[in-house]
Amino acid sequence: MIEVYNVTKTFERMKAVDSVSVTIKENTVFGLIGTNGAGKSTMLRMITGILKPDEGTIAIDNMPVYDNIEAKKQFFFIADEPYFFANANADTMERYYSSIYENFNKAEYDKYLENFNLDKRRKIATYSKGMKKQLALILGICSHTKYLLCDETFDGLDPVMRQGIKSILAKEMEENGLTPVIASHNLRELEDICDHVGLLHKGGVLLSKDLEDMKCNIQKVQCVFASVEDELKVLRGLEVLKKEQRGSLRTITVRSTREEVVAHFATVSTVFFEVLPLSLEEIFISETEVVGYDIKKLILG
Amino acid sequence: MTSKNLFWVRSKENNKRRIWVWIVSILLQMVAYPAVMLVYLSRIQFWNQEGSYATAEIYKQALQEAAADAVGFNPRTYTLVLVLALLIGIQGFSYLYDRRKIDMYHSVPIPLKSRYSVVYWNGIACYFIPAVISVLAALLIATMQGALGVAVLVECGYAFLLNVLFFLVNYHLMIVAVMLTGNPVITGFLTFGLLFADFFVVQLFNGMKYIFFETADEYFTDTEPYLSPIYDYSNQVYELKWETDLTQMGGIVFPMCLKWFVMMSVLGVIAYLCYRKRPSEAAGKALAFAKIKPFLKVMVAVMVGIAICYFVYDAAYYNIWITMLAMVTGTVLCCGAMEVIFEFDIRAMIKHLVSTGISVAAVLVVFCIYHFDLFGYDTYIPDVDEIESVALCTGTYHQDYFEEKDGYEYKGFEYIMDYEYYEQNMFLTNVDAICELARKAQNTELEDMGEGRRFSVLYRLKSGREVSRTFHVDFEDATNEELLNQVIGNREYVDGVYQVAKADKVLDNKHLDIYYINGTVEQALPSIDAEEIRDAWLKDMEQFDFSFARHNRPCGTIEYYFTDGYYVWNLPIYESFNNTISYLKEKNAYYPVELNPEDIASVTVTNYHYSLYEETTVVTNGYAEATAESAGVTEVADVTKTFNDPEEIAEIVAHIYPMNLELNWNSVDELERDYEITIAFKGDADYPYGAGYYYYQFLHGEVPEFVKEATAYIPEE
Repeated sequence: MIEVYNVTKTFERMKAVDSVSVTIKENTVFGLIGTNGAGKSTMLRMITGILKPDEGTIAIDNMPVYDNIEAKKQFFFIADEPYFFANANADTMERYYSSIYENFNKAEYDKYLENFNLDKRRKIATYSKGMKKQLALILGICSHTKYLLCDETFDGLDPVMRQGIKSILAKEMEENGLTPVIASHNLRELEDICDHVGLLHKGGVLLSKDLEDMKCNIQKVQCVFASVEDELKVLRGLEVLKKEQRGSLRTITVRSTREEVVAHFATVSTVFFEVLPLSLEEIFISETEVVGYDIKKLILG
Repeated sequence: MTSKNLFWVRSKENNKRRIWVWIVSILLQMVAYPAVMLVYLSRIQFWNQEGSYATAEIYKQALQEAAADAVGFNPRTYTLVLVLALLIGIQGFSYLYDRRKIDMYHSVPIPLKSRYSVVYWNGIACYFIPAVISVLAALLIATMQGALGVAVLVECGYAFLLNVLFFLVNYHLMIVAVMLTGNPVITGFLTFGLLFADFFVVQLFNGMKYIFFETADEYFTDTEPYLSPIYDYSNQVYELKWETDLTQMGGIVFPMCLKWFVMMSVLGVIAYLCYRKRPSEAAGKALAFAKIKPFLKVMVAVMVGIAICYFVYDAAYYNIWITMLAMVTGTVLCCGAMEVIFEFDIRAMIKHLVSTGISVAAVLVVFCIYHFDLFGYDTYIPDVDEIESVALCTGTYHQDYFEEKDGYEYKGFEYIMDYEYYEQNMFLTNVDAICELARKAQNTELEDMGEGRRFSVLYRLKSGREVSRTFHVDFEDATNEELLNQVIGNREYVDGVYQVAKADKVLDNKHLDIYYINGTVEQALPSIDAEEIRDAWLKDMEQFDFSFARHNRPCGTIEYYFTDGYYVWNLPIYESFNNTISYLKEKNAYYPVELNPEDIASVTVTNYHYSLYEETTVVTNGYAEATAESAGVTEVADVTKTFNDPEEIAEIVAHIYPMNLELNWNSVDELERDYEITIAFKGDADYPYGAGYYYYQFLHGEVPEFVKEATAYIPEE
């Protein structure tokens, strides 16, 4: 488990991360969402011990991470612009990382390179941006660390490759208990992969929740009430996050389980009633609007 | 894997990243040692084939000298070592400039300490291993060519030791510069600053001393950089090269190595601490630690402000307001420029005005210290009880001073400055008189003093400290005469001024010629009598003191001329120097300075008429100098007249003195400077004159009237 407690980091009087506390549980996919400059990279660089927090503590499996070799053995970090040695090819990088990570699996590495059509003798400098990211991910996965921390890693990958990587991550999670931590400015990119999401904005955490919890606890209902009294009764009995009206059709977002909502609506008379699935985006919009943020501006652009 | 194994694994990985540095180091050192050895030895072999060496022994010595030159002390290798130290130092830790590299290196499970030690030791290996291989290869070549000897091995060993220490101290300095900065350009500036800061600061403060302090002496005890290995090495490399005594060589090498070792250790600790504390986010910034910004800014700005003072004060004719304005403006601009460099932003120019204010205040304080002499530099005279001995530079003598050198590269004499010789050889113990002269000079305005000399004095204090000052001595002040007699009228002074007095070894020199010269006659004396002549002259010098020298004129000079280096010692002969003159008479070499008119065919007198020009007498450094500036005389006023009449010739030669005899202590008015006299001798004269003309001047106030009339200036209508 990665525990970030009350961490602050300031760069020349500008707070990049401000009193952030996040817990990343094992064997989940943690998504760190935020706009450019929200503090995602700084967070990851502190979690990986590259930067030292000005305040607060960071522990990986109860070990402080800064300049702690045992803690660092637990993760592999893929930066937003991964660095490869000058004139290196995939073989060179494999030799380097296998000298550092004891569990580096060369056979698996070769297999993945072949699957992703990456020529291991070709100079990495001649790879495309996407190919470099694929190579970094393969190196990270084959290092077989407990945590894989990726900074904007999926940005620049084509959908097919992204799907392929996601499959590998899923397999690694299942087989080896990998815990990926993925930072991205694009919510849609993480929608189908994350179990838990932390939303960073201006160096602070707006929310940090399990996606399933969010999905289960927020419901969107479209309905037409038989009467105004029925509508008022329903609204009084639920925690309404958002309500829209088009003619007699009401779209209501409420914080509750699907069963509770259905049971509650059953107590009133409706002409039309349907519980709709929510996208991650909609969940975020609802959650952040509650605390006064216009999420569309923040992460959807 | 054990930590030892891990070190080697990581070391191997690190070396893969710096292969090009290894290649550069190997190539340069292979060229600097074995290749140079081959070239030098083949050159000797070529000359041997050409018959340049008379015997096999001389040939072997030449080979050994060439071998010692290839692997010993020379500017070539220390420049190479410096370049490699800086290159290896910056390359090893240059990843700290790049955020991408830091992200990778600092996120992998390798402790900071381990990464540092791997890069650090690999850097040293990068220099050391190629150096050992190259030197061994060069020595192997020397052995195969029969050029190896004990002296070659010892010099090579000393040079290698010194080079390794020189590498280490500069390597550590480079690492410190990298640790303190965030990009290579700023690292370059800082490295340059660290390498030469001591040198610049010393030069600057020496310059300030000469500008502001009247008693600042530029000969003795000029402050030298102490913390500059480049200065140390470049200053000593020829000294080491010429040194043949291996123990003496060690005496130079070991203290220098010890000093560099201490410097290296301090820099090493600073470098490692900086590495541990260096934030990763420093990559790409100007400086890694924000806290050193104001310190660096103030240091640089103050130095710039003082440098401006140094240049402007003189240029502005000592106007303090213009100087202060320039200093303040320059300091403020420098502070602004430093902020721009720190922030990479032109708008940062007006940031952090507190440190700018401190810089300006510091510059003004320094100016005040110098301008108002707040620490009493000009009034300092050590207590007599504190002084062990004194050396004096009077700027009076035109002597050559030299040291004998017998190095592999150079054999013969090395010229040294007069004050260097006095510093090493003059130990005057009559310090009361010197201190009294200094005190009198302090209490008298220069304008109120008469003709005299500016003395530079080196006070050697009993504490071991050496202090030097300069002051003007008024020769026309009657009370000074007795003091000066005490100062220069003793053997200590003669020993300190005349190298011949203490030079037993060089008197055996087979390249020594000795002459007696009286302005006209030049008589060769047997070199084998060098010591006998010297001893007779030293005995005569017992009567020498200031009064004697002031009121007598030399009647000739003994010249010791060293053909190997063209150095000359002049020993003045006075008419009362009976021992010397007896020797000369014994050798039939003595001729009086007075000329026999019957030997002279003609006398040509040129009157330059300096008096027709507006004359101003200025005193520069205590020397009264007459300068003539044109005051309406637009044509050349020289008038030349040749006299052939025997009576006129007799009248003229009774009042003249040779131009080439030195009047070291006499009045500047001893001779009439307006007149130049050229003597042409008869071909059948008894006097052993050489061919050609001889130049004389009239004694002061003794120009015959007919000469004045004949050479009077009559302006053209």
